[in-house]
Amino acid sequence: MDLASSSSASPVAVTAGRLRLKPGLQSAPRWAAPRWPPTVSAGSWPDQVSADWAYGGADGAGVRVCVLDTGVDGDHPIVGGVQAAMQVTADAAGELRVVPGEATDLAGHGTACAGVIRTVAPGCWLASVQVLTKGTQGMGDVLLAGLRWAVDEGYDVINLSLSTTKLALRNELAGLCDSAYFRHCVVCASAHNAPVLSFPWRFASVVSVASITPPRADGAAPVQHYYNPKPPVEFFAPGVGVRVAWRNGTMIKATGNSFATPYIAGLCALIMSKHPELTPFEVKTLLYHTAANVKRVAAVNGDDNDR
Amino acid sequence: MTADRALLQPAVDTARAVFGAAASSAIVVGEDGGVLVFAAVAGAIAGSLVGRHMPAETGVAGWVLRSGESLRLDDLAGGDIFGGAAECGGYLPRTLMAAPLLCNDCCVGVLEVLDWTEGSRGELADLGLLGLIAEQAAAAWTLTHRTSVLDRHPDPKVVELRARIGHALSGVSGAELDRRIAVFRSLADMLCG
Repeated sequence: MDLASSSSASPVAVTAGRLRLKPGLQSAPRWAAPRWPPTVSAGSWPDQVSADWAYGGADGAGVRVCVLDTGVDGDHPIVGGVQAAMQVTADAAGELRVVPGEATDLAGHGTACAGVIRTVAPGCWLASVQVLTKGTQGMGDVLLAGLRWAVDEGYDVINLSLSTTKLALRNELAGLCDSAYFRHCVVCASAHNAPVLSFPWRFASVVSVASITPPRADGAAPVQHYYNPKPPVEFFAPGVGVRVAWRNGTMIKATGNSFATPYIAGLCALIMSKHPELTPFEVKTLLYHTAANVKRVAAVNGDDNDR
Repeated sequence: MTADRALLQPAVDTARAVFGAAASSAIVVGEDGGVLVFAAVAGAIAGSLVGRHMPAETGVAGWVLRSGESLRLDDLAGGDIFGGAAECGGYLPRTLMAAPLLCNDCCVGVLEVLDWTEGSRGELADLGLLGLIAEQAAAAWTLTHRTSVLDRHPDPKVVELRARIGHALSGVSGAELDRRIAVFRSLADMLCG
């Protein structure tokens, strides 16, 4: 359909998959198509995308990852220090602010997430925002404040191993996740462990993650991820019986979607480290192409040795 | 026995029995939201824990309460490595599993089991089962507390409606009273389905 002759106010017409300006329009607004064809940053993608091409040899260097959680024990040997430790606190007027804090963990959960990310992407720049606050402040408002700060600070990857069931926060949370998406920030969010309506993992703008049960005979968690063709959960990753860092320098075995999410966040850091120009859409596409259950034509034909 | 304990004790007892756990507890948010309160306990930590308070951000319970996510922790080696010895009443478990008590769109508490022996279903299945028990407990808690919350903090419109109905029914009796009550019932059926 040629929209150029329609009464639509849109300056952009789509014809047979091609983009062109309406007749008579000298220029298009920036959000439309300032030049044609637009420069595709990942235009050099190979015909066959492999894990090696996506993140082989990368260590996450140059990528800033932010963990919104209980705080992170920066002294834990698995974590190996954090480059920034922030916390959400309420000032005297009750206004929530994100201020520098100590690299400590109130429960251990944030240290576990940070440890997984550091294990997958040891070279990344890691920051902690403690959103488990003392007192009566609800998690929802604190989460919003922490997420807003991380998006405004321009982090490349944000790990959210948490969710909220508060419907009143849905729109604001969705707006923040959309802002992150358009700013080239990948938000990795844990799916809820129970079948309840919660956010932000259900938003299309984030990478939603759940756990997989180890399929290997020895019970060890597979170190790979899987694509889920039936969203809203998009990816499965190791999160069952995984050994994670915890408080006081200890290691424990833990199960939950919380621990699968930082694995994917770490993978995103590797991808963005090797291909810093990629958009969140392209990063998610690479996660899909490198998933263990996505077979490429070459693999199906039995001549693929490069996953 | 308090109303909360009466409601949640069956869930705690069920969780402990299903998982063959050394202990189980239901911890709910206190009135001001700043504390967690042991509402019901069973097993090794029973003692006099019911009614005991602790800060709302304490340990795994504090995190599950705020994040709404259930989790399972193994190999705790009996140490207080999650800063939550208080949530176990001083008992130091080797394993801990926690699920949120979700009431409508907020988390009102946490159901925990400690040191289970029946874990053959698999980690995720165990988490799912505990979540189902927590869901059942939260549903009962919700129904009861919706009524009590409305009684303590009634909607002004409801208060006004009650007053008007009371006024309309006062001073009448016999057949006229029956007629007016029938009108109100019809109205309620029409409005509430």
